[in-house]
Amino acid sequence: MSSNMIMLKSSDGASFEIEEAAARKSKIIANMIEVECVDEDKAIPLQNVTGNILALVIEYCNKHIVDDDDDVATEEASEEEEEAKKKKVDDWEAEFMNSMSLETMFELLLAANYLNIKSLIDLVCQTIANNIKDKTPEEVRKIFSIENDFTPEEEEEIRKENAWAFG
Amino acid sequence: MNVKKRKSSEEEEGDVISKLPEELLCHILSYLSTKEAALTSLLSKRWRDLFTLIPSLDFDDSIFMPCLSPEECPRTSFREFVNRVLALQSNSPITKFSLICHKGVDEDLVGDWIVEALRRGATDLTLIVLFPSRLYSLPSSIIFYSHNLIKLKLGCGKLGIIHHSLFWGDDFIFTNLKTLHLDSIDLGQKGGSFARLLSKCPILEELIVNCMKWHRWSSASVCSLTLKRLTIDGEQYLPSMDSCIFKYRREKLASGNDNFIDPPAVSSHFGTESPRYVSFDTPNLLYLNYSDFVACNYPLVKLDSLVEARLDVGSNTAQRHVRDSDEYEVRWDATNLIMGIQNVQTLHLTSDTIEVIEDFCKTVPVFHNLNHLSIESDDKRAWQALPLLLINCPNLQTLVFHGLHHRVTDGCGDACDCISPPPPSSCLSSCPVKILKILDFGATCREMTLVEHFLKKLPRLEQVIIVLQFDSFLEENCDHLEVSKALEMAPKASPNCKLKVVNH
Repeated sequence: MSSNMIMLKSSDGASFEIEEAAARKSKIIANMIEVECVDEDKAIPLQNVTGNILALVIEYCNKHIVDDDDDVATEEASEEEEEAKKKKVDDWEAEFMNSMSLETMFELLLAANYLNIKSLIDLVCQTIANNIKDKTPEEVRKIFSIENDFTPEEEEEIRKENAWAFG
Repeated sequence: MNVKKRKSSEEEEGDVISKLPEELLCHILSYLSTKEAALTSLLSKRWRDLFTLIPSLDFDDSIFMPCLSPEECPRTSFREFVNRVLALQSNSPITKFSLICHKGVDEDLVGDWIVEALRRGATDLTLIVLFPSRLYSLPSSIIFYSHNLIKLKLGCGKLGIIHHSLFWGDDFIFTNLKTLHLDSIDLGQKGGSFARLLSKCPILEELIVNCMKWHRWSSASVCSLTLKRLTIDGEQYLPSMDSCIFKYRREKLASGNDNFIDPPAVSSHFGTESPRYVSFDTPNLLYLNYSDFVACNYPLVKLDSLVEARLDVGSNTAQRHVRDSDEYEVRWDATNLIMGIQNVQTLHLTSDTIEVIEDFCKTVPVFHNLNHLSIESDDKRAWQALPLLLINCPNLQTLVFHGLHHRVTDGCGDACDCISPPPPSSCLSSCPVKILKILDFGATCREMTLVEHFLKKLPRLEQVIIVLQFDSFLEENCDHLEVSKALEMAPKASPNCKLKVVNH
């Protein structure tokens, strides 16, 4: 594995060192590396990402770069081993997402979107979707502090329109 | 998943989720079924029609399948809902369209929805019609748009079997199809239409066929150069199961009895045979899951690249009768099948298959690459083939038993401890297995002595994992501490092996 290190700089001025292989999880950074506009000594400024969120992004990328490397050598791994490995990653991801507030989760999603890290976007969206699943609209509103701006009449109308879904 | 309570300082920020860009909100909603996503229309004005922007649609009417017969539950609201969502989307592209629906929804309407989805570019199509009708015609738009499809799943949920002639013609080709799943689709009286269908999928990678009534064919051949994963399940379909279920649910409802009652046994006059000849001409296949009655012969088995196989090949009553009768004469031969899978690294065998190997295979190959063998066992099937199998796995690392039972016969070999006095040497003594895993362990005397036998004979064991059966009746006798204490004391061929007993 190449151990080229890259510097990233958050919007609030914090610098982070990250392996190139991990940084390449971000399509945006990978592109920058491809077209060689990354100066060895200079940090890449990321104006839309604060330090505490960037730290989470880097934690995620570091974790997953190891997994991707493993994948190459798993031709021989049986389904059971694969499953065990997948479970380990799933557990880590569950713990990772569980450790943050909804607020942080949304910031992380925006950062992942800005940096174009598809697997992280998917993970956060899936986690948020799980918070919506099997809940009544009232419960979902409460979780996400969404203000109901419908009149009771409008609400009734929507229930009628999508009657099957509200069945 | 639990979401931590937000700190009070954050509350001022209020509704953050609604401020996310539309594309991200839609991406979140795409992880929900269209029904679940539609519930968000009630959240606030921002969310009102968001769910109609999702390019993947997933309508499943069976979630509301009530304890009533289809005739008694009008499906108007479902029709209206699907129509409304499709109309609100106007002409925006659809990537994935999944429809599971019941009788009560017009067949023509289903056809219209499918056309609409395909016209708007759907490349991933699922259509499950839970109509008991045996004459349902699949929408011909599937053929018309066959170039577009990447993933196609058609079926009728084993409620019946769809008769149709959709794939019998010549005027289509699934240029881009990678995954094809056919569930209870009748592919005709002869194997020809199946072969033709495969020939029209030039880049197919995954094929799953359940219950296609292929036993009527004299020969069946899966021929594809691109196929990587293949699942064939010859499972019989249950005639009029549908009406049985409904009658049952209604009776249950009427009696107010909540206890689970097994559905009445349904007799099936077919599905107890397989085609006479079965061939696998799939040199690039990596994964095979084959479940059916043993065929008369396997003329061509080309599975050079196979990495993993699961075989559930059983014999039917007639075959067992012939086997057990005096005028025993082999009319079924699975030798080519077992020889054909010799390159596998991971192999799962059901108890039926172990018996078929004994009864209908002239020889067993040496599985040089096999490092993981898992065996499902039950007390109705014998283990006669097990010693030879184990001897022919010189590089086996992991051996898994799902249940530890077998029918004791006078042909029991030395893999088990049934023969008395025990033979001086055992196939286990040369078995290089490092990890032994026993699932669904009932801790009966019989099972305990068999594990002790394994421990005594297997020379290279490093780890033994025993997962106790989940059975509340056993709880008192089946204490994992007792089991591990008993096994710790047992003599071991590999004294340093670690023992782990866990509850289910």
